[in-house]
Amino acid sequence: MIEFKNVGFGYSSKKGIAKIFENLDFTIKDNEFFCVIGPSGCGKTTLLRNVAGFEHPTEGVIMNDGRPVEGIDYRRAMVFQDDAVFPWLTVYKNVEYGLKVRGVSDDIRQEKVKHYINLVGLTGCENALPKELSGGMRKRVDLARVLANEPEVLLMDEPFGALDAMTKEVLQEKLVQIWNESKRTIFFITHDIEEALFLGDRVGLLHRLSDGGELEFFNVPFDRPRDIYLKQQPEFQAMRRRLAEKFHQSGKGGAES
Amino acid sequence: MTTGKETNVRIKCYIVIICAVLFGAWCLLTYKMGVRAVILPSPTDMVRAFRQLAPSLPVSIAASLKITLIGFALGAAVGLLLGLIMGYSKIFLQVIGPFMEVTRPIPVFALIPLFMLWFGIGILPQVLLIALGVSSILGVQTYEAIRNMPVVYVQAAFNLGASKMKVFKTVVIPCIIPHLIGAVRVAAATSWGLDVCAEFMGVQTGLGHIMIIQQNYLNTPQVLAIVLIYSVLAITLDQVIRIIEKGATTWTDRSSLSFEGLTTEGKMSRKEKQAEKKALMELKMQERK
Ligand SMILES: Nc1ncnc2c1ncn2[C@@H]1O[C@H](COP(=O)(O)OP(=O)(O)O)[C@@H](O)[C@H]1O
Ligand SMILES: [Mg+2]
Repeated sequence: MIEFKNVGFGYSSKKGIAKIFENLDFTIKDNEFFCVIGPSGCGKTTLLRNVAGFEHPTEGVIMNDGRPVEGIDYRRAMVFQDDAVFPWLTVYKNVEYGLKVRGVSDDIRQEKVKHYINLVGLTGCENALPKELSGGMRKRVDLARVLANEPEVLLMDEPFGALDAMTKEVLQEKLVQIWNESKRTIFFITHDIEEALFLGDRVGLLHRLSDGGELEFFNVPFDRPRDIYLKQQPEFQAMRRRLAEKFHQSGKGGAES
Repeated sequence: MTTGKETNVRIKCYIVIICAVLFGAWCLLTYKMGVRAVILPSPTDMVRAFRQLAPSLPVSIAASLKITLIGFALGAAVGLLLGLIMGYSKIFLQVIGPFMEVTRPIPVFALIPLFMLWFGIGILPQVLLIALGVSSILGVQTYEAIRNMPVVYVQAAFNLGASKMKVFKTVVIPCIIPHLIGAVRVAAATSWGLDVCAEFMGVQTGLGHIMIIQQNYLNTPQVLAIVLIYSVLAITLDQVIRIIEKGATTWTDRSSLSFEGLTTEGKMSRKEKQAEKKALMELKMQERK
């Protein structure tokens, strides 16, 4: 359970503190798939970095399982918006990285790496270097690398934002499948409303601070397991439209990415 | 478009032609136009010079090689270490950084006389001199490479559970190596220069020492011969570094220049332009008929 208690954050700049968001007060339940959407620059990445422990709230506190988040922890694992796969390591060694630096023993390591490479569908590519892979495959490596550590919370920052529609759909299904098999909390950021509705149990729409900075919640009513045909259902489209209206009201004057 | 193989053959042809022209000019100047051997020795003079130097060469080459390589290795190790520590510890950077900034612009060559006074005329001052020059180049370059590396790799490593020390070993070092190759090559070239200088200044062994003696007798062919030997040594070291580079940087995208093999639309080679003109002319001729 991740609790946000009156959380606010500002980057300190020359002119003082540049507030990004404030007064966020909500809870993400255990094993919830929580998606946040919002216009570009509203502070989605910053919010996630606060949960990961890369930044620290300037007001309030974020609690994970009753303990305040004080720093970076592999149990709250981040999948970055940018390509973060180590280009000097092979696929195998990338996936192995977290286990290795944490001192997990050889045989367990081997087993887990094999399992997670297989899970993301990269068996056969173990010895490839990242430069030989497509963007979608590199995201799979990134995902496997994070999953191999078996984190309690997955923090994902527009992980599929740079991928083409086809690859994106395949990876969305994969992610849901993985989440179904071994439940864990996922905090997923996207600027794609359809993606948020397809993946999430609940969607939060974060407004820019200049537009009030509110975080609006929407429960996603669709049953699981969901397949990609859900996206064509009228109820899905209706909800998408409702959110899109809110989104564009909020994002007026800003680009959507 | 030409195929890669054709281009290769053409490049080799150009190189052979340029070499032939240079050699021809050399022969012409020395044999026909009577340029004196003191100014520019002829090929025959050079052969004679090598013969005369041959007995003393092995010892001298070994002496120069030893000093340069020891100095270079020592300097590279110290420089890399300093750069890494400056990247690792902010306190160290803030204490040592200003000293490095102030001392770096001092030309190392200017320190040669002092080094001889302080450390005598044995192998020590030379080795220290070369090490100093190399380490000041590599220290700064290592630190800069660390500063310029993508933050996301470091953050990802921490987030996967690595400690600061582990991040340095497994992320920072592999990540900066490709960016250091250039600096290592410059440092290697500099270390040869420092070796020559130090030997000029009074060291009793080595190629530079023979060079100074020969120069006193105005034996230009011998001087030139030693310059050639230095060049061969320097080029060999450079090639060794490049071979190591190839092994260490296979993971990067850069193979050659990134803009090679790209052409923009609308820009045609002269041949293509001429072909197009010709085609147009022919069309017009046909229309007239
Ligand atoms: N390191 C930083 N220092 C100062 N301001 C920053 C920094 N990172 C982001 N910002 C600012 O914070 C705001 C929110 O950024 P971000 O969280 O990346 O937005 P989003 O991910 O929603 O697009 C932006 O206006 C951005 O300019
Ligand atoms: Mg962002």
